[in-house]
Amino acid sequence: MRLTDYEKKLLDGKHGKAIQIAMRVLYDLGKNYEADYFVEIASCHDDSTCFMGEAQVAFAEHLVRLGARFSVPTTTNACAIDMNRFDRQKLDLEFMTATRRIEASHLALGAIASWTCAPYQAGFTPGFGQQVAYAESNVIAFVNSIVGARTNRYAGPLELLAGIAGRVPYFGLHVTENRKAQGLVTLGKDITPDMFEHDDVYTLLAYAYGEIVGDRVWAMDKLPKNISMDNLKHMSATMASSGGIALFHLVGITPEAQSLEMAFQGETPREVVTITRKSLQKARAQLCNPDIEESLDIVSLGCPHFSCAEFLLLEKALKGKKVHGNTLLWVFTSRTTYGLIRDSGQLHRLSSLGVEVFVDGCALEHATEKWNTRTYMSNSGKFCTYCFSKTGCHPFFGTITDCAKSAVQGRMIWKKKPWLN
Amino acid sequence: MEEKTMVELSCKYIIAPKKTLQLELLFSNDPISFFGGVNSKNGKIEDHRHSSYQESITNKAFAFPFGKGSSGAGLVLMEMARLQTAPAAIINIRTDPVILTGPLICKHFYDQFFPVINLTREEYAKLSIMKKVALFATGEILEAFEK
Repeated sequence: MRLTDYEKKLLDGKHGKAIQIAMRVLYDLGKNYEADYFVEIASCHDDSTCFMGEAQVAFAEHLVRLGARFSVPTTTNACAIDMNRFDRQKLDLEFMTATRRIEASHLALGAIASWTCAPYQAGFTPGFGQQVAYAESNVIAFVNSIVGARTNRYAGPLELLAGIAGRVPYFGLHVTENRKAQGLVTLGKDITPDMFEHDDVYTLLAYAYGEIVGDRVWAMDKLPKNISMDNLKHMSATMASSGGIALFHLVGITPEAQSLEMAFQGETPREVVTITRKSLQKARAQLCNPDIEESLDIVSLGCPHFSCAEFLLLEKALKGKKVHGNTLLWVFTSRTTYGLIRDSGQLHRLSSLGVEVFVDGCALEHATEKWNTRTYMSNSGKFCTYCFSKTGCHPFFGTITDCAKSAVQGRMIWKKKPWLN
Repeated sequence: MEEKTMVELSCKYIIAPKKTLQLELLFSNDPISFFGGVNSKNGKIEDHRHSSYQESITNKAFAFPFGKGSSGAGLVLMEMARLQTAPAAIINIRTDPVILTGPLICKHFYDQFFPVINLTREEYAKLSIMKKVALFATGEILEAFEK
């Protein structure tokens, strides 16, 4: 790799031990992907925040002891719990103590305390074409695809080292040519315009797309242009769950795919796959397969973190009715969105209907045994993908409106969808 | 009596082992997300959609075509290394930085070598009937055994 004089000094340890070891790892990474040089990054998103064991906690503390500091603005992802309401969540004390240690070390590294898995809806969005190093699979897919910023799929704690070094090897999706779509997913004739009136169709399409495309860069066409930011968020999160999608192009919608030609950088698709009504039915069967249908223990929303627009939809769908006494309606959001709905009076109105709003934490971390939870419902393709392995229960999947109605009734109810005909 | 058969596969070592390793192989054609896909405490696959559901990857050469899903994979693999439930090697067609994070951190921070190998799609397919593999510090070939 060609190195600048400054990068040589970093690798030689002239700027301290922490940045030296960070650079060594990144240099090794660059060698593996045959990168020619480093590229400076404008920002970093830190996903080493959700507690998965002592190794990550000790690692971040080790970095602090080495004297490490982030050299670019670095935002924190969601962590495992609501740091102030973990007792209500009934999560183990171990989660709270570990999370506070993670908080202390990451803030000592100089992180911005955003604590959200939808930073792009909390004021932290990179610019088009900007080189960044982001972790958290939905954020990676969103900023690459919807924003047009450039990141590879970095994972915790590698992104910490990128944030410390302020640079990454120039490879993969940092490079224009590698962002070219290779194949096209198109919609069959039996996918009709009325289907797009239902928000869940986007998640089902995304689930099918992730399964077809895997870890490659492809494009999808024929989606309506007025697709909402929240549906784009759920598409990003779902594709990055059923598949390993880091970048997807929506023809006529996303910035690097304003036309088919643009998405394929002047070439033509090497492969075309058609999604049909049957694909949607298959995707739904993967996301919606509850063990018990009679009762509903919890409706879990906010995976990724709920937005202001989603809170508006939820309130509208509840129609002033209270959540059923046997059902929990929990919403996970960022501190930013929480502040906005608190100040507008919406939080008070929702709370009086029995909606509980949590910040910082992750909907997938639920104390299933302590709550004796047997049935989950969510509007999230990501939540429903991981629900069984994280909780031992298969979920029920529906729109925010389906979720609100079900929470009020205390059982799963949903509108019959046109793709099931 | 059946002959013990061995094939030699050309491959790319992203991280080579320090010494020759003979490992039991767990082969799959399904991609995996370590977060929500593997239980770090017992080393078992917990994704019910995966073909090796409930099998242990601990101390095995774990072959999956590529990583998918959550970027929590790095943290899960590091925790598995700490709890000694980690696979002994990873074999992929493509290894993205999400999968490579754990092995890279282990190498540079803990001097722990966690081999990662890439095979072409054709060579990878040959592993499907294999039970064991041998990895070499020279970092050039992979031997696969039917028994």
